[in-house]
Amino acid sequence: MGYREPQFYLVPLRKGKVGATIICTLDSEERKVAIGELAVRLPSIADFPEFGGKVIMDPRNIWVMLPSGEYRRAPEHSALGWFIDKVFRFFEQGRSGVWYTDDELVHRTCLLWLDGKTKNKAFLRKVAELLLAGKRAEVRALLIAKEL
Amino acid sequence: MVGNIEPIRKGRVYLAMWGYLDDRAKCDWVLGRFRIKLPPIGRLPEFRARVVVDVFGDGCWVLLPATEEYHRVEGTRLKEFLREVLFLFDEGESGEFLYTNDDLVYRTCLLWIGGKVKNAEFLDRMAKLIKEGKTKEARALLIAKEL
Repeated sequence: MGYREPQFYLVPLRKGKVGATIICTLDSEERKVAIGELAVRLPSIADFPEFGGKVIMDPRNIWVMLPSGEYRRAPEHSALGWFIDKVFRFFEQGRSGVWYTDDELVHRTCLLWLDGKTKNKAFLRKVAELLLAGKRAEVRALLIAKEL
Repeated sequence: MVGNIEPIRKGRVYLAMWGYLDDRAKCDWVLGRFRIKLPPIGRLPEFRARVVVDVFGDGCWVLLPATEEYHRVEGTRLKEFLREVLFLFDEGESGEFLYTNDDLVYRTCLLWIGGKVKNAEFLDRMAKLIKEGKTKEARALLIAKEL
């Protein structure tokens, strides 16, 4: 990410009040950032299944896990947002409030879209329609055809 | 508090949060069941002091008497003055800031940031008098400018 971490900054604002900024990464271990006596415990995210989800969304963003395990954020206002909205029933709410799914077919559809292997919104519409109808075998066949 | 959590890779997220710490009970930043407790700063004298500088000398803040807000010092001249009188500063509990409640230093800062003095020689003169322990002369000089 190109930043030194963790970072904890304070700026005096008024008597007895400071502005605080914390920038860091969180993982499966608890961490602590401190400035002298001031310490902030940063919780582990191990108990938050959403941060290992294949597709994660909040009201503004969609993140898709790449095969490398890294997340890629979907471009804003893309057709993928429309697709995710349609298949929202496959998502569950995580403990932090964001939504996530590990549904394989939703994930593979997102990967196809992000990789640019399909740019046709009709494809997304068809996959959404089939998923909502519970026709998973047909979806799988459609995906394989595009993935090859 | 406001903040942002962004997934980076499986089991790893980027966190950026901004907010305020004050004297009262701990503030929390909450996102669903994700919660970060922030400590109070009531026991840290540097955040109630009249003049505060960071340990790198880049940031200097002067408490405005009317509003009790900190004015961030811009420009180099007043910072140079503060460096000259740094022996009057104590180390804060946070380890990141030095502070002073010295009356002469404070009033000099207020004169400068209030625009009542624009001559850098005044700051040099004040620094010299303070360093030499000539507080009566320094006080007289301040009163002359304050009036």
